[in-house]
Amino acid sequence: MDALQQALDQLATGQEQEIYKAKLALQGILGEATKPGNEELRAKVAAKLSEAVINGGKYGVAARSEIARRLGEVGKDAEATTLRSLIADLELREPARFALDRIPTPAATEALVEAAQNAIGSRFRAGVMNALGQRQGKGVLEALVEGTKDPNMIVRLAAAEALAEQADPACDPVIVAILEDKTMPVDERGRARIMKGRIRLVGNLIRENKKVEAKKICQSILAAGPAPAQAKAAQARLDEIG
Amino acid sequence: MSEPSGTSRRSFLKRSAAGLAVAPTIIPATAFASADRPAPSDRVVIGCIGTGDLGRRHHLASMLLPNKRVEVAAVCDVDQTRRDQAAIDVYNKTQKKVGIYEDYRDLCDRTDIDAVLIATPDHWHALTSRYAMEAGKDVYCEKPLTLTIDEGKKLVATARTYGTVFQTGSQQRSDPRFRKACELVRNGYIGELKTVDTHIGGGTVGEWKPVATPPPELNWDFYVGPAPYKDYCPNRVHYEFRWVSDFSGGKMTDWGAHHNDIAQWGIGADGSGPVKVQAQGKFSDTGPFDTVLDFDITYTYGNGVVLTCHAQGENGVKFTGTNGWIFVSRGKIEASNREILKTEFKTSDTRLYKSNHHHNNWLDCIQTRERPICDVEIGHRSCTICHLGNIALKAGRPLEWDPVKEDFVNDEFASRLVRKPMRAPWQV
Repeated sequence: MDALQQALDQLATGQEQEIYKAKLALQGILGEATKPGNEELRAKVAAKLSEAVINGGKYGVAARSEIARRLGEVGKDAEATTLRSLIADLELREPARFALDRIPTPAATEALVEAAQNAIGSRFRAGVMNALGQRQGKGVLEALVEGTKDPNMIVRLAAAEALAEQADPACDPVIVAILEDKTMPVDERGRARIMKGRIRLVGNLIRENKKVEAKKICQSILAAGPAPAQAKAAQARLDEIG
Repeated sequence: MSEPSGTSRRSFLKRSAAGLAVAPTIIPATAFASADRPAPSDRVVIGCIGTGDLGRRHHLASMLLPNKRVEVAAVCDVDQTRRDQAAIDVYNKTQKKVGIYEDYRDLCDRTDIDAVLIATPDHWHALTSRYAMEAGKDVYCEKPLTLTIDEGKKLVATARTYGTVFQTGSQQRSDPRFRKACELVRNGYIGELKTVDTHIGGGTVGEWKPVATPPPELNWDFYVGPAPYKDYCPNRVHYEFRWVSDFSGGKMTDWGAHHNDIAQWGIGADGSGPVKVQAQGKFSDTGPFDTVLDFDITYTYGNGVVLTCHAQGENGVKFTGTNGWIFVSRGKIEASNREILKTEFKTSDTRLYKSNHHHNNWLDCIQTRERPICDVEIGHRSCTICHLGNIALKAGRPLEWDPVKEDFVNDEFASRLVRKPMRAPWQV
């Protein structure tokens, strides 16, 4: 753990050449700690990184951002809880989101769901929607559905694209509803993004062998008069389904 | 004006021309083919995304502008000087003004453009390619195709959904020497293939330079795009991006996407890959560049063939079998026995996809709708080899890879490195 402390201290110097050396050292330490069977070492390393990012006033924002991102490579549930506490920190929330995105545990999912619901900042919430799009589950789905009603279009569209990754036919009407909300008109590029998302949803449904549902969505897309590329893709999918 | 549903610009032009042929209308001469210039309906209208050194000098100036089958209609770069210079190049060659864009989405949204040629920094390849495909464009994307394995999987899926003709810029596939080497290997003329050694050169240490205000012509935030934000520094931009791990995979993906691609071709592993990877390497002790300097990466395939990718050694690919070896590079092809190179292939031999011009192969396929020689999946799988090497270097341990699931076996933490989160709002 001395090597880890030394790397953290180097990060804290704020000098680029020292930071480079620290990152290189961290790479070796994390590689060792994440070897299958090295759970005890992994837990120690992760705990020390967590402590540095939470109580690390002396490290500064740049160093703590780097440490937070590294937690994405080594963290589990305990570290996801640490990262969750950083979501309210305007300077550290983005590296925290990057890290949570990489941690595949339930606590990380819960942290992202909470961020989707409560975090301030449309661009940040859009990033959270993107992260949730990589995950499955009831909580994820609910957060994404809620995201389609966000007061910011950037978040709504990110939520729609994330829903398209869910391979759940119930997502389609939720995605389409964004277009039908008269209180917040969708511009041409946004409409195109939604249609592209629906095509992706069709692909995911076919992969999950939900062909009947996929067929209905294709027919709905074609009826909506999409751009030529989406019309061609929807027709090709219909032909594929038969 | 929007196009009729499902109608491409070229098919629309063909139909319109047929209609006009019986109408009393004056048709411009440029609408018809001449001996040295195809009719507009047979020309491919292209937009160039990324007009830096490679995009402008190689693709635009050497490959597209002299090609009579091509009409360049737009250029795009986040550096105003570079995009304007590219537009000037087009004007000087064709006396035509082109659309000039900072944002690739504006270029891709044009309905009169058939295809795009992408030569951005690596961290933009997947985003621009996917957007273009979903806008109905055919794509030529420079190698290395992606920054992560996950990006490649998504590009393959998108290309299949949209029926995109997608050429990856690993142009050695269109070099007769490399094809001949692979055909000799694939048909057993060096016996049973045992090992492949690729020599791709090492990385660069670089020189520390202070962060600075970005030059006014460069939209630095857009340049960084999906990568974690970092301040502008002259050694993080343009050619040097390839040594910065947030933007590129270093020499491993740069030249690895050439020679490991040939290794995959010779092994017969297109659409698949190795099952094990083990890496030894050295990074700079001092920085600033953080991609690997020196390395030997060993990949084991399911059939027992071992590929080793080296930084050191003469640039090229060496196939070694039970009865001999073949070495091939851009300048030469050699064999343990010269007679091997004089082989007349038998009709029963496996012959590989033949292309002698990478760009023309892409243009041919745009017409025929067939897959080009370095289709997106081939590019993705070859790039995966390079990414596996970088991940194994980072992990510092042997890794098992499942080329069907495209994930690591029993290594949760290595699996996390298959994709990288992106800075919002970007997402592939």
